[in-house]
Amino acid sequence: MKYLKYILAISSIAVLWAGRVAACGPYYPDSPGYIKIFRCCSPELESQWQEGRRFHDYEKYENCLLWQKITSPAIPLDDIEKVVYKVKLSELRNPADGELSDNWFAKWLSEPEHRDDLDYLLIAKEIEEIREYMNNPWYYAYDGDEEHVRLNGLMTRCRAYTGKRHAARYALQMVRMHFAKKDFRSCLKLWEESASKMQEDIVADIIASYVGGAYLRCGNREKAIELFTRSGDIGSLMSMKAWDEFEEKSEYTDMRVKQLEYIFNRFADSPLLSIKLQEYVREREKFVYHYEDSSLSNEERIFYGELKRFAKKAVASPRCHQKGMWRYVLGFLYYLDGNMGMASAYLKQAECSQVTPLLKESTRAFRFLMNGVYANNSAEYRSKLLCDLKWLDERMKEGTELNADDNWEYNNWMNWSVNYWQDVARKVLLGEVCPRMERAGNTTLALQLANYASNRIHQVAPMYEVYRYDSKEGESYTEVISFDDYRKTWEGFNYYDYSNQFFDRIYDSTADKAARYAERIEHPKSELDKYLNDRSYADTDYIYDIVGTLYLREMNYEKASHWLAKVSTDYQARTNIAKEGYFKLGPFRYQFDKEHFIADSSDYKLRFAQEMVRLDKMMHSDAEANRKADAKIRYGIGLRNSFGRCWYLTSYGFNSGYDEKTGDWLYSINRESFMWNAYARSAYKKVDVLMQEAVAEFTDPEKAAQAQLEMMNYATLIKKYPETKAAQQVKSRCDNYYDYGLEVR
Amino acid sequence: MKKYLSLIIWLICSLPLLSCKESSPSNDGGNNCVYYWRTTFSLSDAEKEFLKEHDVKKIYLRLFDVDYKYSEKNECVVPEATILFYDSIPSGIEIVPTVYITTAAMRTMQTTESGYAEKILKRVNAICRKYNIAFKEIQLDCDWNKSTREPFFRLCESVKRGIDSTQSLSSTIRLHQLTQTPPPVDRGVLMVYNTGNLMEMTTENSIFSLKDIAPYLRDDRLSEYRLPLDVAYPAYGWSLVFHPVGMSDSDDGKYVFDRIMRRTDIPDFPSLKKIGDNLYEATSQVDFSQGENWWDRVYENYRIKTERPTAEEILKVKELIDAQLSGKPHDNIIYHLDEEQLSHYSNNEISEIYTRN
Repeated sequence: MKYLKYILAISSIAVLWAGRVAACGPYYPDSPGYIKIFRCCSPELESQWQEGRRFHDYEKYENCLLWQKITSPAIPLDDIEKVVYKVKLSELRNPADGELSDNWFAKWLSEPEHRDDLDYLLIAKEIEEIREYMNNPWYYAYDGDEEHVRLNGLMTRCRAYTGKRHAARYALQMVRMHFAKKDFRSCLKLWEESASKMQEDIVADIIASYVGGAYLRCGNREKAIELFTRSGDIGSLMSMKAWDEFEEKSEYTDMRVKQLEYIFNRFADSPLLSIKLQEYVREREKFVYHYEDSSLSNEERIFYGELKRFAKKAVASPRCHQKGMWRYVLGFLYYLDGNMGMASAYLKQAECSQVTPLLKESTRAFRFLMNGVYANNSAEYRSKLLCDLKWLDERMKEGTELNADDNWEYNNWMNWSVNYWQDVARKVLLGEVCPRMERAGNTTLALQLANYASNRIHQVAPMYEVYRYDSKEGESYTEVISFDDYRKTWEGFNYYDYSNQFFDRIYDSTADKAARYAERIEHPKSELDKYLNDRSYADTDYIYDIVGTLYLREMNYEKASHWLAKVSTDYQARTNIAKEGYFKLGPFRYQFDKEHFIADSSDYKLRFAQEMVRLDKMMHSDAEANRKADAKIRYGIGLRNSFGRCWYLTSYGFNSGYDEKTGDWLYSINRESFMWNAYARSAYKKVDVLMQEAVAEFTDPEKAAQAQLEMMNYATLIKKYPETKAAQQVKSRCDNYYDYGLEVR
Repeated sequence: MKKYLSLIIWLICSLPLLSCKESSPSNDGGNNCVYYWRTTFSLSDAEKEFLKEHDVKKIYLRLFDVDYKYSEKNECVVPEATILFYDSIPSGIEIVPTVYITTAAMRTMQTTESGYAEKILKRVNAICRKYNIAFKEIQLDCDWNKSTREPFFRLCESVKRGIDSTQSLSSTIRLHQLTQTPPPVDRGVLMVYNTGNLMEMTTENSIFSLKDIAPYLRDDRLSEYRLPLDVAYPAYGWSLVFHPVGMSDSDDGKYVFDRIMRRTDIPDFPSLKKIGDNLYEATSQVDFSQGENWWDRVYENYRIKTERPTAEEILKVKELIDAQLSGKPHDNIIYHLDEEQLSHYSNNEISEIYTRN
């Protein structure tokens, strides 16, 4: 019964602690093996497709080029784009003023001889504004409503245009108006009577796309497919599942490959291919963890096999102008299969192909990855690594678009994907290079690289999103603060520094290895050291505190003192542990209560380490047996507490529960704590030995009894030292005391 | 005899007046009206008959709701659940286009109320133009409170400015709003329903309860209220479903509001055991739509509370209200026109609710 109470008491404390302390972290980062870095299309292209199944950028660009052609090559395309796509009708009414005063296209339009062009744009803008309103949920259509009346007036004006210069454009506006009014028959009539005979360009393509839609709504699927194909409107073809007719003839079994084949056969260079390929390869990346693809289902295996087969066919096709992309796809798929020979061969081919700038960078990232696959601890590789890092660092600086205040990605305490180039850094360095360096015995470089991969992004984009709570309003809200403030002045927890992959790695390391890394920060030996130190979170307080804590964990108090003495009190006060209100329990007390909170928490860890050193010396060198025994008891209590109630002396995170394998109750059973648990077990054994030795070494029964009293071994105390003052005290208050001996933990 | 003759003549003249008080209750300065609160407009024969039988002069017709809907790119305050017309409007009945505005929408439209007033009016006009509804009054319905009062009042002011001089603006007035300044409208409709907290299983009757209503009517509040009032009474019922929590020992016996069900035929299901006046508990799973809708079922231990005010209860409250509104001509409105709901009340009961003293 006594034990049950004990277990319940400890369990409830542990559960409470677990809830509180888990907030300190660490939060476990994703394995780098899961990070996806395959990239063959831009996020903008991807979102255009997802939002509207159209490639607006392409249409805009082509249309602006046409305008430039009919106006003046001296007018910049950006100026044309602004006038045609961005400004409102009211702004365009006075093209030479206000917002457009320095716009060359607006200036050109404001010249009297170009009135014809301005008139067209004014009409087009008005139609667009009306159409936009008609798509607004507030709009409610009825015969003769204001919007219909205005559209009818504009229709008359469009019909009245007799010139040639803008004939196609006016036709496009008329088609749009018919569409807005759901008058599809008039669309078809306009197409058949005039628009179909117009010169083929982007305007005619857009008209054809609308007319295809009109045919579809009127039930003529064949004609719709014809017009969508003519206009290159792959989105509409996909929406109407136009490949149904094509499907049976395909040599492939997987629908996704059939779709790719359909697209490729019609539009071999369609941007949609890059979107689809990115989707499929990234899906494949998901299954990979250290090249094991056991989780890939048979269906998926067939799909990726067919995808590779089709990619090879595409590369061989004379119609294909994106051979570099297909080779990149093939190389990456072979990498994911673990076939590094084929991966290297296709990567080499991709590097020699003509590709877009985006794909060129992606291919370079793949090269960095493949270099990582063959990483070793040679000077040659380290030199190559430095080159790779210099290239990567430039990309990270250029590619960081994390400046918007409302970017949720700043909230990175779960180590989510923040930025493509940081993903590349994490995937390659943490997933490939660090483990190889570790195996090759260069832990220092592994830690340097892990620090770079985890922290460089926060030098480049030094912002972090934090949660705040307004107690007056009772509402929580988020705020973006600088990373420096987050680390130094933010009153909440610093999740990131105790949860990222660098922390994970150093925390799983040994104290000596961590110390060697810390020394390399102080004394860099090579250009690579300097380069990485400058681009990492090399705050010595942070690193020394970790090293010192690891030495405490390893019970090496001399070395712990050395490192902890270098940690500033300012830093100690802003750690999560201090913020949570720990560092209050005296680590050499057997029992704890509020009355025994220590008044001064500064240098808590250091003072503990120094006291342990002093006690250790006494244990070994004091000539007086009772003092020696006392020192052993005090040392034993300190050692036990450092892996128990005062766990924060040896750890940064804490949890509790039963070890599934052994059934033992453990203070910490989470992933980060295997090593901690091993040290804890050894510490407990040492405590038992010390206590037994101490009890045997006492020569003064009063002191021996007092020690037993402090350790709450009441039964032993009364049995062995019945005549002492301590025994009398226990006997007089026996109801309050239980024998919670040290052996019962 | 001359003296008696005049008395007889007076009696003869008075009798018809006394007798028509029950059957033709609308000729004393107020009308019989009804709310129409469905998303499709179509009237059954019984509903048409109801309008005729009770000489309903006005239908408050909900055209659409204005709600908040999160959108990154588009407007967040949008019209929702716009009514679809499957029937024409019966002739001789005035229609009051009514727009329900959620408090979330009200909060979001702060500082831009005039723009939204314009949008609401434009949309109401468009719907009425399309279905040939000429209206003299428009009504805004919003459960405003202290935090949304100012924006709602500004919205009312803007709408008032937007309507023409022959039209008027009314708004609903909930009981809890009676203690506050009335909104800047021409008339108010006192909503004497939804008076309790439907989320609480212990609420006696969330639709209508004298106990809940009486405190709001003390101090002769209605006669003092600085806005002419019409009064809306409920003629509907529903069932409220609660599910047991049971996640931990401390939750034992707790029930959480689950949903509203339109049906009230709960006693017809053998697996729903009566455990209180209007409270039932499921002894096993009950599939109300026989497998068609997965959500239309309750599981063992779920509880269902049926609520429907009786005419007697309504009349008790009506007496209190009429006493405070005596001498003030006002319309009586029934919420709402629905054959199934109205079938739970007799013609006489409805007539009594419509009666003005």
